[in-house]
Amino acid sequence: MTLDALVQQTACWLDGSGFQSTLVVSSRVRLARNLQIVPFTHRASEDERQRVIQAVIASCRKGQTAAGMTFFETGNLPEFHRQLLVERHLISPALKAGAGERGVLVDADETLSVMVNEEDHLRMQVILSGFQAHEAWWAVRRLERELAADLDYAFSGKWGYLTACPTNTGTGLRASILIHLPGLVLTQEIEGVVRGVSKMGFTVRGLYGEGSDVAGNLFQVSNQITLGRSEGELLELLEKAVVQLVECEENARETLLRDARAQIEDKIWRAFGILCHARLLTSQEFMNLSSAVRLGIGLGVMQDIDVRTLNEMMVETQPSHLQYFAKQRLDSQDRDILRAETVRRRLETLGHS
Amino acid sequence: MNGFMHCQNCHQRQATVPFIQIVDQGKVVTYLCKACAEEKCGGGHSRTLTVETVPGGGNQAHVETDTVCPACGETFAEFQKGGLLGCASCYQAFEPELTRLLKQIHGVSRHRTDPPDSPEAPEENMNFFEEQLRQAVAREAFEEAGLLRDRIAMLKAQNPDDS
Repeated sequence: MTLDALVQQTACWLDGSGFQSTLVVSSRVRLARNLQIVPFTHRASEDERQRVIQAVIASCRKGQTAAGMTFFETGNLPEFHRQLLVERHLISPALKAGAGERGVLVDADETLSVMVNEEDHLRMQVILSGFQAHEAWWAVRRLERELAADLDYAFSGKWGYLTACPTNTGTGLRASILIHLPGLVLTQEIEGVVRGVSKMGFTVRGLYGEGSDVAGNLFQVSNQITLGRSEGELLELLEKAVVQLVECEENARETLLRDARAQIEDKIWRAFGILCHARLLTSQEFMNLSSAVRLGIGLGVMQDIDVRTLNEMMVETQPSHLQYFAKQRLDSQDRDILRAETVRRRLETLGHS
Repeated sequence: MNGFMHCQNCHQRQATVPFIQIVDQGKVVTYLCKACAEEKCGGGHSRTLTVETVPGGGNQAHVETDTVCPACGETFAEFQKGGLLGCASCYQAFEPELTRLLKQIHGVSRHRTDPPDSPEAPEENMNFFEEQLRQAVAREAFEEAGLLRDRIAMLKAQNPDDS
């Protein structure tokens, strides 16, 4: 698969399927692994890093799950192309920024990916639509076991899988879900709920994170610890945290509908109206308006637009994707014009504007 | 990675300590075994980071000792500065310090993993969620049970053959 083909397709995890997908956008599980005999990435020579890449690719080619994956050597890609991969959640900003031998293996529908020579030699990831954290874990474990047939992972009986940063030692597992919580934000209960989830051992990003993180009432919840709890226990804890978040969000939505139905419906339809007709849309504004529309879908207020369309637009309207489709570099205002146009065209096909 | 490095003083034992001397504002590093490093520091206890004055040391201002990983050469001070370990062997080289650190981060310092007979996906999805449902009902966690029922119904609709 070429990078062009990749950018023009829709990643499977955006299709709006899966359990609770009006609330939970996606579920992701990643495993960090290192090869026993090679220094960790930041201390490895270019030669050693190249050998890691070759070993991982060769191992993937033999396995059933990973045989068809494509390797993108990000060290040799221009910055603009690397950013496209970041926007598609296939590589981390850290892999994008780093120099030297590194890259990512991606499967045909972008469900499975393996970053090579990021902070750890391997970062395997499975990302699925909706609330499917267990399913994602099972899929990434299958891949991890396949690769273990050839690769000798750094492991100690006492400390589990050995990672470059001690915050990942043990299972090397980070499970995260991206959840949409506009009801809790509108009822101003979000802070208390986030505190509760933090006490259960989860990190919630989006509330106090950097500017770009707070957009669209989308919160990323992930396990904080990786050592001392088994993989299954970590997944079950995440499940409990999500059940709690879903329950709180649904209660908040009920309260909103009971006390302020007209205002909420007005907010949703106005947001939709602006998305259909705006001539300039910043990224932040798009995320906030699409949050209101997503709420409308969840409440059954809007029927003609689906979660999939919103998810797809979330990626298509990112700066590098806009420029890719425009086939030119665009400054911030030109991007806002093109973003508004892209969204208008998508919504026109639904027969609204 | 190569085998271990010999102490540059006794040339016999394994070098585990970079011995840093500041001489006329220049830094001279030699790799020593623990015993030789302690002797040079005036005897004692310096496996961890210390800064000591060399007794009667002429133009040597002071000496620092640090633990070093014999496999990759990363020092504990480097790890403290950059936050990343250098290789799998660093875990052994810095074991006492890491045991404390891992406990601080994770609350414990011992790995646990799933039993080998944990469910294999995806053909066991249904059994897994049905078991979870039974447990949730037993605990009277009705919200959770409701969600699990919906989820099982969705899985059954997706894979009618499995039911």
